[in-house]
This record gives sequence, structure tokens and C-alpha cells, in this order.
Amino acid sequence: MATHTLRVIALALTTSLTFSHYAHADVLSGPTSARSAKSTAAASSSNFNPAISLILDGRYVATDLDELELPGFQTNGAEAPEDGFGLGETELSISANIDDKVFGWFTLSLEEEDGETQTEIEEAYIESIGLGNGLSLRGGRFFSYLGYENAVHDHALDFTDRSLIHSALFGGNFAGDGIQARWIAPTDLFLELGVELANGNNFPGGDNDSSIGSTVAFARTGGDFGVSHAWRLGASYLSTSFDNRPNAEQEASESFALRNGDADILGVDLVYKWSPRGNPTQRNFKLVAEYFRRDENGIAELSQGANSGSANYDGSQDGFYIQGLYQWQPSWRAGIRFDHISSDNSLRNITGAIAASDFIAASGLISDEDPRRVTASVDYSPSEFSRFRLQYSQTDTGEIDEDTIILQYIVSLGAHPAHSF
Amino acid sequence: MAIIINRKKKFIVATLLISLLIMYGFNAQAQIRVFACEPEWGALATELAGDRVNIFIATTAQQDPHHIEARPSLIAKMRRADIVVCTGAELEVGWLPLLLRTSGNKKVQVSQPGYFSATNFIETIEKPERLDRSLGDVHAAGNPHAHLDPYRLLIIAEALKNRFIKIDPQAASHYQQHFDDFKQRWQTAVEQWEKQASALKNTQAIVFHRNWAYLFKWLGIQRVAELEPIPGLPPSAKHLTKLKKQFADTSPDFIVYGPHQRAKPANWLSDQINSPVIELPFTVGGNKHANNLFTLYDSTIELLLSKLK
Repeated sequence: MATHTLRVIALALTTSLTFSHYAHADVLSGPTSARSAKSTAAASSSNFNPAISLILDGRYVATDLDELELPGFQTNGAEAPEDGFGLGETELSISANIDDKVFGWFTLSLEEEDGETQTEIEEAYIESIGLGNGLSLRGGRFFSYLGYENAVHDHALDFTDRSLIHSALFGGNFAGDGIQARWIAPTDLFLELGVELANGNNFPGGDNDSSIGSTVAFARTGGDFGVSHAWRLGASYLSTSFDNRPNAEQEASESFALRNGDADILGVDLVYKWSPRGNPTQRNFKLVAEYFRRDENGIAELSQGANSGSANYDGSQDGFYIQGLYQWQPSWRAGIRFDHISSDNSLRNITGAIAASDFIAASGLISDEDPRRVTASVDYSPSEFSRFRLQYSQTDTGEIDEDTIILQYIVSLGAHPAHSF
Repeated sequence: MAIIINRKKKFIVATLLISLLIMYGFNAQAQIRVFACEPEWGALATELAGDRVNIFIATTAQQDPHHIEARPSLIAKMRRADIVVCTGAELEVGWLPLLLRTSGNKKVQVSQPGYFSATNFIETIEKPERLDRSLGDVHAAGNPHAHLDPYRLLIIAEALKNRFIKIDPQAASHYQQHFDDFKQRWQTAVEQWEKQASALKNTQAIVFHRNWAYLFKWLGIQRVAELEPIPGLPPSAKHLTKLKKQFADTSPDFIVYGPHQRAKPANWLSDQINSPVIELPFTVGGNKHANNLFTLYDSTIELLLSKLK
């Protein structure tokens, strides 16, 4: 598998390095593409090559944090950076206009986990080109447009890791296989409405028999204040259900799962950007804040050795992060982020052979602690294609209090990055 | 019961408001909406269409047109545009494709007449022989800043006139008249500019970035160095020191930068090598004189001449 993947990348890179400038896709930001059929500039077959980009991410991490276990939240696979030298996510993206009606996007992620290279199709979707009347349709696998951070690829994040609330509620970010429809209102004030229907197999959904396992609705508005200020405000809603949602981290002789439940999530997000006279190349400031609340229920089932028990679970969790990034001179940025999450869950009617107190302790769902984190970073980007970052964070989950220092590089080979808001 | 009625009323009012908003949007499309990526194309559209079109200019002279984000306000404007007029040659590669894709607007897609890319109609210069990013953010399509060559600008003007006629055929004679008038005034002005600027021939200039290539080629000014170590990277102390040594004895005639570039490196080098610094307007709105294409050229040539020893 690994050899094969490497060959694919080698091939892709050869193509990309030769022709990449003719076709463009996303890299250090969001998606882009499409370019004019050039009549005057060297028309060659390379014009029709897809835009290919490869992200390399390497880091040195100093931490005592093993896993991102957040009291009051079911474990979902969200990871903390691993101690020592290591690679982050290596990401290969290929995109192109397929014809005049359809655009295609593909992102493959390669990540080392427990000594093995895990390959994951992060996104693979097609999208309409200029359907008209402000409408866009997308189908396939894609990152949901829930909030702001969710649709951002790892390498384009403003910090090395995702916010606590996104980690806790979505296990990083929420994606699914399905369809998305977006509509932009014909108004001077930006107003976008959208819905997504997907399989709902990913956390906070889970294994389910329904053909539509998750529904997302979102609305966004935004604009400028004068020439120096820009903003976007959004609200989003996710409804999903699951037949079985086991803990991602299980003890050796113990298994815990939530069954036959629903989860509803409501969120608001705000992005504000400032740059003097609208020119961000010298100095700029970016502020992002998101708040999410999740209400969920289900049957909690625990088995410890030969014993098992169950209970009615009712959960309510919420949290926010707020972050600011300031570029004080070309290439240099400093950032700070505050994360805060909290839970108010209940387990009722605990039945079975396990004592109620043991059941509650093993579930990890009942907690008075509010996990929080403070993160500070400085990054240096010699060009649009490379970034070096030093990040310090202090994570306090109530049960553990750990410092993490990360030194990281992220570079993009190939297509020109898109400047998404 | 009262509460329910109240809610219903609120719902009806909200629906009405939204419908009104949408209807307003559709009705307001009577006038041709132009989305100009840069001020020079907004100014050209004004010359060619007068008040027949409604022009939105996405960037100002104070912004670097390469480093723009696909902001919500730009998406909203793109959504309703009838024609997009941009430089092309990958200048807007970071944001224009993204705006086009997000907009859901059929008329302005690359395959449609509502997509006008100025550099598609001219031969660009400075096409790199090698595409290697260690040589900077160089683009295969060549130098995109063609609006400062008056001859190329006229070719583009004619192409844009034809495009306006294609998307708004009822007003064909209107556009033709405006173009003929513009062409005549422009050709007269070019003659005059060339006379005025003859003293600039064979002068030497250090530039911040390669965005004066067409202007210099036209006026016969030599570009002897750049403040950017490689295109697209900010001037570094090391590179500036190198320039200081290089030009210690032979001060070039000018150090030129634009309104979206930093004055500091240019001023520093000027003090070291005794070459005068000039901030040229680069595009319409770049200084208080440059408020249309004619005054942009007037001001540029005047500024250069004023610093000529």
C-alpha cells in the first residue's frame, strides 16, 4: 500500500512540477481553480492538466499529553499531536474543471498512525460551475460548511491543531458522503443559504441504517466596513442520528457505546479581518470566534469483562473558541487562541450488573470540569508556499494540566494557493 | 392563541421582506453590471460605456491585486455581475477562480462572453524560461501588468468594446461611438506623452517589483535592479545591502515603487546611493491626480520627469 501510494505521489509531483503553473487549485487556503483558455500564451496540453498540490507537514512536538481525553465528552478519535519528531498530515489534492458544467476536487491524506501509514480520502466531490441564479450543487465526499473552521483543511489552519470545541463535537471536523446545495442572494450584502444531506456515518453520527443520516443547514452573511474591514457572520445546524456510536478509545477489558441516539448541534461563527487600506501584505489582523452547542441522547451501554449494564443518556455540551492573528510585518504573524468547553450530561436508570458509580466513572461522560486551553503561536512564511510555526499551548482538562510546544513546517508543492476568506 | 397569530404574522412579514429583497435584486439588473478586478479596467469600462453600465471595482490602487481574498462582499458582487473584466495572466489566480466558482453566476464563467481577461488579447512580455519557485512567484503567462503600455491598452479597449457589444447588442452604436472617441483622444495623448517623455529614454531605474515592465519598455527606461530579492518576496536586508554595494558609484536615475508597496526599503536605498525615489500611481486612484486613464499616464510621466537630473 505504502509503496503504491508513494509511486502515485511521485508521478503526481513530476506532472505538477512541470505544469503546475498552468492550472491552479487550492493549497495553503481553500479550494480554487478554473482558468481561461489562453489564446496567446503558449497553448499546450498542459493547459488541460489538473491542478495538483502536495502538502508536506513536519513537526517536533514536546508534550506529555497522550490523548485528547476531554471529561464530559465521548472519545471520538480526535488526536493530540504526538511527542517527538514526526510528520503531520501529508495531503495530495487534485482538482480541475471537468467540462464547462462540472468541477472536480480530490484530497488524499496520508498520516502515520501507530507505525502504519493510513490513507484516507478526505474529500472527493464534484461541483456545478455557474449553474446560475446564485446556485451551486456539490456531491460526493466533502467537509461540511458548518461554522468556519470545519471546511478548512489541516494545513490551512491558523494553528497547528483544531479548536477544542471542534475536536470534542466532531472529532476534528465533520465530513460525509452526500450532497450540498448553496444559494447566494442577489443582494449587495452577502447572504448565503445552504443545506447538506449526507450519510451521517461520521461522529457525532455513527453506524446507521437511514439513507440520510445527517442534515446540515447553514446561513452566512458578510460584507465590508469601509475599505479596511471585512466580516462574515454565520449560523449552522446539524442533525444526525446513530444506531451505534462506540468510544474511539476503549480500555482493554471494557467497551462503551451509545446506541440508538440523536444529536443536534447549533452554532454561530464570526470572522473579522482588518488590513490598512485593504492591503494585507504588510500588516493585517484576523479574528475568529465560534460557539457550538450539542444536545444528544441515546442508550449508554457498558461491558466490563463478563458484566454489562445500560442507562439512558441525555447530553448537553457547549463551548467556544476565540482567536486572533496579527501580521505585524511581511511574513511574520503572531496568534493567540482561547478554548473553553463544558458539559451537562446525565445517565439515568442505570441497570445491569455494574454498580451505578462504576458505570458513571467508566463512561467518562459525567464531569463538572470545564476543559480549557490557551494557545500562542508565531509563524514565519517566507513565501506563499511555505510556513514555519512555533506554537505553545497549555491544556487544562480539569484532570490533567499539560504544556505542549510544537515546531512545525508546512509547505505546498505545485498549484498556487487560493486566498479564501 | 395570540402568541401563535403573532408568530404567524412575524413569519409572513419576514417572508415578504425576503421576497422584496430578492425582487429588488432581480429588478436592479436592468443596467449592465461590470465587475472590474482592478481600477484600470473600471476606468476603461467607464470610457467605453459611460453611464450605460454599473461598474464595481474590486480592488484599489492601494491593494496588491495578487494578494486579495475572496471576501463575502466580492462574492455578493460577483453573484450579480453581467461581465467580469480582469487582467488575467494569473494575476488574480488566488481569488478570481474562487469567486467565479462560489458565485453560482452563469454569465461570468470562463466559457461565457461575460468573462473578459485583458491579457488574452495581447502578447505578454517576460515569460519565464523556467518555472522554478526558487526563482520567485513567476508565472508562465508572463508579466500581467500590461495596462501601462498605451498601445496594448488600446488593443484591449477595442476587444472590450466588442465584448460589450456582444453582451448588450442593442447599444452597439453607443459602445462604438465611445470607443471611437476614446481611440482618437488616446492616440493624440500618446503622441504627446511620447514627445514629453523622450528625455526618459535610456534612463535607469531600480524598481520595487516588476510591475513597470510595460511602461519602461514603452518609454525606453532600463530596469537595472529590483528591491525584491526574487519576484513576490519582500525586500530583505541582505539584498538591499547588495544593491547598495552594486550601485554605490553608478546611481541609477530613479528608484520606483507603487502605492501598494512599502516606501521604507526604497527610501533607505535612496539615502545610500543618492538616487531619487518616486512613488508612481501605477493605476487609477494611485495618487490624487490619477483619476482616469489619461491623468494616470500624465501623472506618471510628470513624476518621472520631475526627478530627472
